[in-house]
Order: sequence, then C-alpha cells, then structure tokens
Amino acid sequence: MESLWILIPLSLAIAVVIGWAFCWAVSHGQMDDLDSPGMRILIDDDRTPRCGNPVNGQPAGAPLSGVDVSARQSESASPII
Amino acid sequence: MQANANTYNYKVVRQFAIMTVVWGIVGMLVGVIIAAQLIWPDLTFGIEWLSYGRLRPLHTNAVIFAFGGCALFGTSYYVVQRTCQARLLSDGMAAFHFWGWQVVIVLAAITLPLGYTQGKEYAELEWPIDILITLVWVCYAIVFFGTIMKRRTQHIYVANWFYGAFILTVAILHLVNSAAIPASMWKSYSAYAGVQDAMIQWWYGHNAVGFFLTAGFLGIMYYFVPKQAERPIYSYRLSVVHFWALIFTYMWAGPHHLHYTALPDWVQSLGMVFSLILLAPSWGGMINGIMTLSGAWHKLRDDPILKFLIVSLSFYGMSTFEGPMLSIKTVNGLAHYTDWIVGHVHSGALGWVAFISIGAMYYMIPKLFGRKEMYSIKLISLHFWIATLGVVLYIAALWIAGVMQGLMWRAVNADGTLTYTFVESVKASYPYWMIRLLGGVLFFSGMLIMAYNVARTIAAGKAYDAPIPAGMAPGSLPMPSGVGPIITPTAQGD
Amino acid sequence: MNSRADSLFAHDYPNSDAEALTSGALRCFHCGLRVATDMHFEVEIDRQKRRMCCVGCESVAQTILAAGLVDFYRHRIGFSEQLDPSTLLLDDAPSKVSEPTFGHASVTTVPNASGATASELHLYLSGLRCAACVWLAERTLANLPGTISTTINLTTQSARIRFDANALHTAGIIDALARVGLGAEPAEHEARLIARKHQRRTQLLEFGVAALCMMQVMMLVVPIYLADAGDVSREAKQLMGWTAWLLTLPVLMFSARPIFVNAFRTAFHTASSGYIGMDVPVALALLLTFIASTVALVTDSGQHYFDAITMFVFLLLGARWLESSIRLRTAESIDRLANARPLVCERLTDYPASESAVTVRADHLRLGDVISIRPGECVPADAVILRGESEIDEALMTGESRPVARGVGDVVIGGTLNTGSPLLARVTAAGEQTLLSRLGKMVESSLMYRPAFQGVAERAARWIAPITLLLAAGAAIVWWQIDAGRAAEIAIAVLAITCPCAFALAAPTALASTLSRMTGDGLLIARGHLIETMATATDVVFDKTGTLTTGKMRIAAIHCKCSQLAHALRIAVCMERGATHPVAAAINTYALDYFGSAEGAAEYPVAAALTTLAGCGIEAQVNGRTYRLGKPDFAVPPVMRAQLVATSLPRDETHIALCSSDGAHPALFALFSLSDPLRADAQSCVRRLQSGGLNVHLLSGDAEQVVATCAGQLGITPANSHSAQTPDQKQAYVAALVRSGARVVAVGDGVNDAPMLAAANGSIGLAQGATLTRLTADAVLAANRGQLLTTLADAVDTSRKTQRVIRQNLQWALVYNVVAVPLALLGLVTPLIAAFGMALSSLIVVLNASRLRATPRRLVAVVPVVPARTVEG
Repeated sequence: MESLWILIPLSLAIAVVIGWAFCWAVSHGQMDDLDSPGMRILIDDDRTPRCGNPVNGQPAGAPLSGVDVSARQSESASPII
Repeated sequence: MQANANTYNYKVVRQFAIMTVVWGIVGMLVGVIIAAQLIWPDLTFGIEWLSYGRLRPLHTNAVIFAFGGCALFGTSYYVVQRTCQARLLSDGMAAFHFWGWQVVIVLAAITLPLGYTQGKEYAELEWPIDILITLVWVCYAIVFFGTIMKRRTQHIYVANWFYGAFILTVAILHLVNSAAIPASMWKSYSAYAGVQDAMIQWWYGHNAVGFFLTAGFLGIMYYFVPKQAERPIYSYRLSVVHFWALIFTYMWAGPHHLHYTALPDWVQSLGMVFSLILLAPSWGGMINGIMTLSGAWHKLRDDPILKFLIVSLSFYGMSTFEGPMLSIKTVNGLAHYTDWIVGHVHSGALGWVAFISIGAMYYMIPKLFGRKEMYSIKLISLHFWIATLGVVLYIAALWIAGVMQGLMWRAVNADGTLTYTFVESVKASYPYWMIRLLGGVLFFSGMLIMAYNVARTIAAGKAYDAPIPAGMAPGSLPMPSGVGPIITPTAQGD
Repeated sequence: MNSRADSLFAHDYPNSDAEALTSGALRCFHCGLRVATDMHFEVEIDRQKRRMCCVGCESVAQTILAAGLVDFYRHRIGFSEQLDPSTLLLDDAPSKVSEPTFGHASVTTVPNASGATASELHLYLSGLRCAACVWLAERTLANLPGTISTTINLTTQSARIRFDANALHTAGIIDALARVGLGAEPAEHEARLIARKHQRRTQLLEFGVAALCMMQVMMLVVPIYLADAGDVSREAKQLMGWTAWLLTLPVLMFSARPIFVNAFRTAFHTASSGYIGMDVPVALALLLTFIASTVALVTDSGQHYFDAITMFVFLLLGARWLESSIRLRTAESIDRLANARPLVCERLTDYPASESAVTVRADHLRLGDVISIRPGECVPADAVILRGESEIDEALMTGESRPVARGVGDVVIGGTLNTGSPLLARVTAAGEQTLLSRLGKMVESSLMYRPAFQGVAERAARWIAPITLLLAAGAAIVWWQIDAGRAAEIAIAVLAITCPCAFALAAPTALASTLSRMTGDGLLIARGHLIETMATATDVVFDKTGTLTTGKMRIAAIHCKCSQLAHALRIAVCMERGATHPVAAAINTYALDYFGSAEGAAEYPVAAALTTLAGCGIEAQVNGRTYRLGKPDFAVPPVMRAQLVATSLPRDETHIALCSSDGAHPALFALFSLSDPLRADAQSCVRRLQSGGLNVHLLSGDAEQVVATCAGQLGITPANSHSAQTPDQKQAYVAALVRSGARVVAVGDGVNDAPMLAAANGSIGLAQGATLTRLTADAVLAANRGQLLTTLADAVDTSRKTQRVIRQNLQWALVYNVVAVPLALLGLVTPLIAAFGMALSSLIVVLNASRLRATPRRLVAVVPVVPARTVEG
C-alpha cells in the first residue's frame, strides 16, 4: 500500500497541527467560559433599521441612503429601537 | 463603493448569496436533465457535450462547489464578521475570492461538457483550474483567518472553528489529491496510479464530504439555528466537545468506498470501523441543534425558515446513520454501485446541505438588503413543502431501486448462474427513476420559487452594510453622570 | 399602554403599574422585588415609566440608560440582583479611598504586547446572572478610559481587567461596576485563583493531547488487529508502528508527566516512609510497556502496545479530570461564601474622643477597632454594637428575609445587612477570623473527613502497590519458564490491571459531591463525620420553638364583639405602627389581610403619646382615649381581670389584650390569641424521617398542652415528646438515649439548645444570630426559611445515599482487583484490556460518586432573549 507512505505521514502532520490548535485554544482561554458565548450571538443585534422604528430620529420606513452609514455611526452605540 | 471601516463588508456576502441561488438553479437543472437522460437516453439528441457522462460531473461540481461553495463562503464571511465584530481583513482579497471562484465555476461549466476531465470523482477539473482553485483558496484562508486575528471578542465562536477546519482540510485534500503531471493545456496524469490512486482519491472523496459538506455546514448550523430560533444552542459546551471529537477522528473513513475492491481487506475494515465510530460525534451535533428548540417547539409551526433548518438536522442525523451502516461490509456488498448509494448521497445533499443553505439564505438575504424579512413568508412555506416532498420521493424511490438492483444482481440460480441480466435490472428500475425524476423536478421548482422570492426581496430593498457596534474601544462613550447621595429607603412612617 | 414596548421585554409583570399597585403585585423593574406602595422611585425606559424598589435600583437603571446600554433590559433572562447600596461609593469616593487601601496586592503588573507594562486586576463579580449581565459588565468596563482589555467569565463569576494604572485605578473600576448593579471584590486570594486556573488549563491540555493521540494511535494499530497474518506488508506495519511510536511520545512526556513525577517522588521516599505510592505501578507499567513495544518495533518481532499505553493514560486522566472538576466546584462555592463581606468600611480612628472616620478595607480591620455601619450597608466584620439600635437582615445566614432587631451589646455578623439605623460597633473578628470565613474554612476542611471504613480501605490500598509489584515480578519469572515470549506481556498486564486508586477515590469524590450539593441546598457542614452520623442515625431529637415552628407569632383568633373587630384592629395597628417585634408583625399581617391592601390604610387613626413598656406592652392616646395593648396583666384594667381569668380560653397561646383604660369606661376591646405555627414542611419532614426508620423526639420548654398539640400534629408519639424541659433536662434526655445505644442527631436553635446539641452524636443548628458565634453544632442549617426542614430530610436521604455510594465504590474496587489480578496472572488479558479495565474502574468510581452532585445549573433561556418578531411597519 504505497499510498500509505503519503497518507500516514500526512495524517501525522495534521495530527500535530490539530494538537497545536488545541493547545493554542486552551492556553488562550478559549475553553474557560463555555456558558456565555452561546448567548452572545443572540445579543448581537443584526436587525436592520427597516423594522418600522426610528433610528436616531429617522422616521420609520424612511429608505436608507445608500451604504454610507458613517454619519449615523458617530451618534450612538447601537440602534435603539 | 467606498470601503467604510465602521461597517461590515456585506458586499461580498451579497454577491455569494445571490450566486448561491443562481448556481443552485443551474446545478439542479443539470441534475434534472441527467435524471431524465437515464430514462430517455436520446433526450439530448446525441450531442456530445450534453451527454450523460459529461453532464454528470458538471452536476456534481455545480451543486457541491458552486451552490454549496457559495453558500459556505457567503455565510462564513457573514458569521466571522459578526461574531468577531470586525470587518473582513481585506476587501480586495475577498473580491478576488468571489470573482476567482466564479471563474472556476464558469471554466468547469465549459470544460466538463467539452470532455476535459481528470476522471476523479469530485475532482474532475483539469490542472489549470486546480491551480486557480488553489490560489482562490489561499486567498480565502488569509481573509478568513485574518479576520479572526483582528477580532474584538476574546472568544472565537464555535461556528468559526468548524469553518476554519473546513478551510484548512479542504486545502490539504485538494493539494494532495489533485497532484498531477500536465501533458498539455487541458490534459494531465494523476501523480498516483491504480489502487493507490483509488485509495488517495477516496481518502479525498470521503474527507471532502466530511469537511466540505459536513464541518462547513455544521458551522452554518451552529450560527443560524440559534439566531432564527432566538434561543441559544442547547449546550455550547457540547458543541465545543463535538468539534474536537469530530476532527480527532475523521481522517480514516475513506476506505469504505472501496469495499471488495482490490484494496486490501484490512484497509477496508479500517474504513468500516472508523465510519462507525464517527456516528457518535455526528449525532452529538444533531442533537445539540435540534434540542435548541427544546421548550419552544411551537415556533416550528409558524416559521418556515426554522422548518428548513430543523428538518435539515433530521436529514443530517439520518444520513450520518445510514452512512456508517452502508460502510459495513455485508451491507456494502448489497448496496455498492446501486442507486441506494445515490439515494444516500442525495438525502445528505438535498436534505441536509441544501436545506440548511436555503434556511441560512432566507435568514441572511433580507438583512443584506436592509429588509426585515423575505418578500413573502408564504412562498418560503410553499418552497419548504414542495422541497420536502421532492426529497422524500427522491430518496424513497432510490432506496427501493437500490435494494432491488442489489438483490437482482446477486441472485443466482441453483446451478450457480446469474438469474438476471443487467438489462433486466435496468428495466425494473425505470418506474423508480421516474419517481426520482419527479422528486428532482419538485425540488428544482422549489428553487425557482426561492429565486423569485429573493428577486422581489432585493428589488424592494437596497444594499445595506450593518454598522459594527462601536464603543468597544475604551473611553469612547461618555461616563455616566454621578448619582446623588445615598438615601435610606424610608420605612413605614419614620 | 404600548403593548409592543412590553413585548420587547421578556418578563412577566402586569401591564399597568396602576393595576399592579392595587393588586400588591408591583415589582421593581430592575430586581423584581416587591415595591412598597409608598416608595416612589421611577425611571423612564423606552418611553415608559418603570417603578423601582429603591434608590439602588433606580440609580443603576439610570446609569445603564445613560451609558446607552438599554439593550441589557432586552436581553437579560431574569431580574438583576438588588444593588447593595453600600457598594455605591459617593462621587468623590475614589479620592477618599486612597489607593494604598486597595493595595498593590490586588493589582499585578504584566508585560503588555508592546513591551510596556500594564496593571492587571482579578475580581469576583456578583450579580452576573446571564450573558446579558456579562455584556453589561464588559461594555461598562470598556467605556472606562484606561482599560486595555477585559475578560469576564460567566462560569466562574470572575473578571480579569488589564488597565493603564496612570489613567484608572481599582476604585474606579469597582465603582463603575457598582453603578450598573454589579458587585465586585478583588479576588482575595490572587495567587490561588491564578493557580487554580493554571491547574485547570494544564489538566485540560494533558487530557486533550492524550485524547488526540489515543484516537490517532488507535487508527494506526487497529489494522493489525483486523488483518489476517501476513496480509499487511512489512513496510506498512513498520510505517504504522513508528508513527504510533511518535504519537505515543507526547502522551508519555507531557500528558503522563504528573504520574511519572509523582511516582518518582514517592519512590524516593519509600525507604523512609515504607510506603509505595499508587502511581508507582502505573508509571512502571507505562514505562515497561513502552520499552517492550519499542524493542518489538525495532527488532520487528512481537507485538507493540502503543494503543494500550495511550488508552490507559486517556482514561486515567479522564477520571482525574472529572474528580478535580467536582472538587473545584465545591471549593469555589465555599470561597464565595467566605468572601461575602463588603470591601470597604468606615473606621473611627479616635472614638470616643472624635467621630471622624476614614474609609479602610474591611479585612484590614483589627480587633477592637470601632466602626460605623450606616443603614443600607453590609456589616464589614463581626462586631459588638456600642451605640444605636437597628434591624439587621441576616438572610445570608438564616435565609430569613425579615430583619432582626439588634441593640447595644448585641453581636452583628460580618456580611449581614444593616437595614435600620446607623450603628457604631466594636470589631470582635475581622477578615479571615469572621464567622463566615471560619465557616467557609470548616466546610472546606470537612472535605478531609474519611468515614471509618474508608480509612481502613485506604490503609489496605497502600498494600496493593507493593503486592502488585511482587506479583508482576513473580508472574514474569513463572511465565519465563512456561512461555518466555509472553512473560513481558503478562507482567505488564498485571502491573496495569490493578486499581488501587479506586479505593482512594471511593470516599473523597463522594464526599465532595455531597458537600457541594448540601452547601448549595443550605446545609453547611462544619464537621465531616456528620454525613456518616446522619446516615447511621436511629433517633432524631428536635427542639420545638424556632426549629419545628417558625418562632414567629401569628394571630390564631381574635376574641371580641363582631361589631368591634374592625375598630379594634385599626387601633391595634396604629399603636403598633413602626414596631418590628413579632407581635406587631402578626397584627399588621392580619390587618393587611383583613382590610385588603391600600384602601384600609388611609383609615388608620394616628396614635399619640406612645409609650412602650418593655416586656409588657404599649400605651397610647388614640382619638382622645387611652388605650393599652399588651400582655393581659398589663393591659387589662384590674376590674376586669377576674372576668378574664374565669374564661376558659385555651392556654396554649399567648394572649395580647387591647383595652381602653379610661377611668369611666374601662373596656376590653379585643383579646388577640397568638400562636406559633409549625413550619410548613415540618409535618412532611417528620413523616419522611419516620418512614425512613428513625425515631423522632420532641423536646420543648413550653407547656404540656402546647407540646402535646404540636406532637399530635406532627405524628410524634407522646412517649417521645416532653414538655417543660430545662436545658439540663434536654441534655440528660439525649445523653440517656445515646447511652442506650441509639445514634442521635439533635436539631435545635436557641442558646438553650447548646448542651443538648453537644450531648448528641451529631448536631445541626439552625442559623440564628447569636448562637452562630458560639458554633458548637456539627452543621448549620441556613436554608431558605420555607425549605429548612425539607433540606434536613433531604440531607438525611443524601447522607444515606452517600454511604451507599462509598460502600458500592469500595465493593467494586475490591471485587475488581480480586477478579482482575488472577485473570492477568493467568495470561488471559492483554495489556490493552488491562489498561482499559484499570482506567475504566477508576472512571466508574468517579462517575458513581458524581451521581450525588446537585444537577448542574443550566443557562438555557426559558424566555426569549430577543423580542419576538412582531409583524409591523
């Protein structure tokens, strides 16, 4: 099975990389808190401003002006709905 | 459009999302054509570049790499940005990724019907395209991992780990398996030969399924299911354990594609054993995803996007059970080369991969165009039911056909001769191929409905780039004004 | 009312505040506690006015709003903790509290990425209920100028902040967190916290590496098992063998390092201590197997056992990981208990000469320091009151939310809350010497306890190691004669298969699980033997008042003319207004129920010229008439006393009379009969104990009638219930029981019970103020008051389960070793199976013990954490 001469050293190399990745994860605190990250993605607000509510004074339903939202950016942290 | 450092790069996400739908339609149309060709071989009038042999790899490449690929790229760019709260590392490289990949697909669409092929399943594309794929992939890896490195959250969400594993593994698989010696512009010879080549091919083939079609899409699942369900994943801890268990054990399942071939017996057995072992981590992921709805099953009633996502997990569970079963030698002895295998592939491809991608697209696309939700929820529901009916017809038909074929092929008379000729088994399969075609057509029409829905949604909206939440940099928000002196809460009357 | 706004908030409270007010169900928007009707704290959130219960919640809500963090209210899963106002420092407080008070002990310097140094602070946080709170904390900290990075850990409720010491100091950080309602204290034992985290990570790394290598090695070794002889080419075998060898190295050199280090250390001391550590056979097995396998590989003859080695280490580390998880959790919950004190306090430097105070750290207080405890502040240390009278909320210890009155000379406990008036007190114990800290230490040390048979088992287990070595050597010699090729393999199997660790793990893990569960339930065990004592008890002796009964008065009946009832009640209430003693509480509660909520309130008259006679009653003028409310001897006008005596009112209750003593028309308006009701769960507790085979006894100093009624209600046989008992008599009774061969657990609360508790085999004290400082009981029951006795009954059940589990574990350990070793000696097991067996055996023991744990807290949102997507706009 000559193909094994490629596949086995390769899987050894991959195992080393996986081992390194695991060590990196543990020592950089990726495994310290496994309770809150599941919730955080829900807290991340990805609603668009077209939910019928004003964004920083803009009336509901008003179309957004293109992509440039920098003006809106400087005013507040997160869209208050 | 000016790159704005305060928003996420949704542009490349939009591009991939739209192309996911487009390539889905193209790939499935080709699928419908070749399914029809099995019943009516003269359907395409003998035109060579529309022949079955050439269209089939076009179909597989289009659905896996064009449709599946764009879904993965689009969602991964969306998820990595939002969970790391950072814009993509480089807009230029992301753009190269997108356009480069489209070129790859177009070239595939041209070369495969023309007959240029390396003859390796899911790796048919000739060497120039392989090189382009490598370049695009390296670019993708740099952008993805670079974005993670510039993250502003400490923890890297589990979906990103799945995406990352998918990216790195596919890179290695591609490089190793596609090693070839070019003979001319569109002809090359594999660096491996014979049974060795077969071993490496199926090491690639199965791990491609495992990492391209499973790990990557699990990344999609771990983000979009909780977001759509508005509930956190059932057990985040389990998801992390699931990830590590999966990548610790995945690499050796390949040989199960080669049972009873020239491959040594012990290698085949090895493949079987590890396919069975894989059952556990796979089901862990499935349970984690489905149980996310625990306590909120009623949401499934009214939310068709959630239906897509949760039903995809059921099909995932089913396929990851069916797969190890098929890898058992005795079972494989019956099923290999029959339509059962095709049925198994499609229950995974349509039931798991397509459904989860469709669900993710329905979630994501409105957000990319500044809309609250898709143009018509009813159409999503219609799409769901048509698609589910299609899948069920498809796989049921092929299960029956497959077992029947296997039994017919191995039937022997008392004197040791074969009972049936091959042609007889083909004739017996016709009705089931008709049903399978019907199933495929239904699924395809579902995609057309989706295309219409997506088009109307985009028309009603405008390209929108979400702002990155500010205030993460220290000192950027005003300190709250002071509170007054401490007042004792007054008790009764004194 | 904007119902959409309501749907934004995923909590269940009434639609309109007005409704809520009248229905008495108004809850503070921030913390969920009831809002008293005359409190007016309110904040406008999302265009709707929301009521708060106190200035603390109001200021927190305002702070959250001002910082633009209103999303917090949308995403939280439950109500927040009520803010402890003492943690709200005044605006200029940071300058008041000089940095040295926080000490550089809390703040460490770490090198920054850019080479400069930054300061790092570890904090324990309280009030972190869910990820929304974590988000709130992080955003708040990120907003501070000078913060470099923050890491908040929901699992361990702790935070690590890196900041620029020039722009920010500790007080500022803690203040900022306090303003949003999150308590923070520098993690007291910095080094311990860091050490624990480091230990956890290292263990996880070792386990993970073992897992990875184990899987990979299995893949490489399985072909040999699957293939028929000669099928696998020599080159393939060598390739896979050497790759397996490479993958085994990290397992031995990294994952198994602690095993080798330990074995080495104990091996060195064997000569002096005569004791061979349990890790020695394991280490020896691993080493010998590896050497033998390497030789087999190099010489291309014989089998190698890399799979056995890696599997062995993997399972062993798995079992140890589980065990240390349990211990870690127990230790952390104890730490939190011991660290409940406030951070800073006011010390009077020159009392009584002057009353100027400086703000100092609470654990830097010394014996004899005079401190000032303002209303709303936590008591910083155990102290004796010098001046002032107040009500102290001792919920921390007793679970009792009603404050208890304390005056000059009374003891206050560090960590409890002063709810009434300012106090000056002299410190009797501070820092680690406070009751809570000592309790914490006791609970921790009770982890060390070993039941008798466990001690025997452990001593026996020490012999297993040397015996194993001898057996292995013997097996090698014997098999060398019989079949030399197998000698090494069998010797290794013998070494690997024995499991002395199952003996050693049997009790500790079970005890740690149980302790952690009981601490969580509210039973703080100070002496470990109590678990065994409870499990083997035959008799339980209860004190009555305050133990089986709530110790709180309740109006059982009012004797008066029907038409007079409302009038009498109103007068009684207005006379008792503002008083907090049990009788007043009873009357107020009754009146509230009788009149309904707010309407009756307006109609209470006002009492004037109120005088209180301690121990007797109150006299006051109401609407021109003089009334007396109190004991019949005091309140009833002499002329009517005879009448009173002649009535045949049952004598089992206390009576309070309301009389008008104006000369002309003395009148007995009402006679309130008060009783001390049984705790809600008393009956079920007694029944559970009895059905568990325990004899239940009742001892009380009360009158016979009272005790008989009580015993009857509870189902305690008259023979076992005794009234009018003095403390000495109680003690004698218990002592007699013990002498007669019974195993007695005594449960009591008051000062009177100390002798009785001491005489029993095991004692449980109810947590109540004064007695705590003289902690003689083996355990303190500090559960929520509605659950007190249920917790007790549960504890007895759990103790029995614990003994069962320990016994099961020991039996398993014995059976396993007795069966396994002969199998190995006879050559019936391969090293792989031996390794598997041994590690699995420890795993079984640990898993069995972990059944005793309380079910882990799940952080799954029960209500949606983001608003439902309503179709609108």
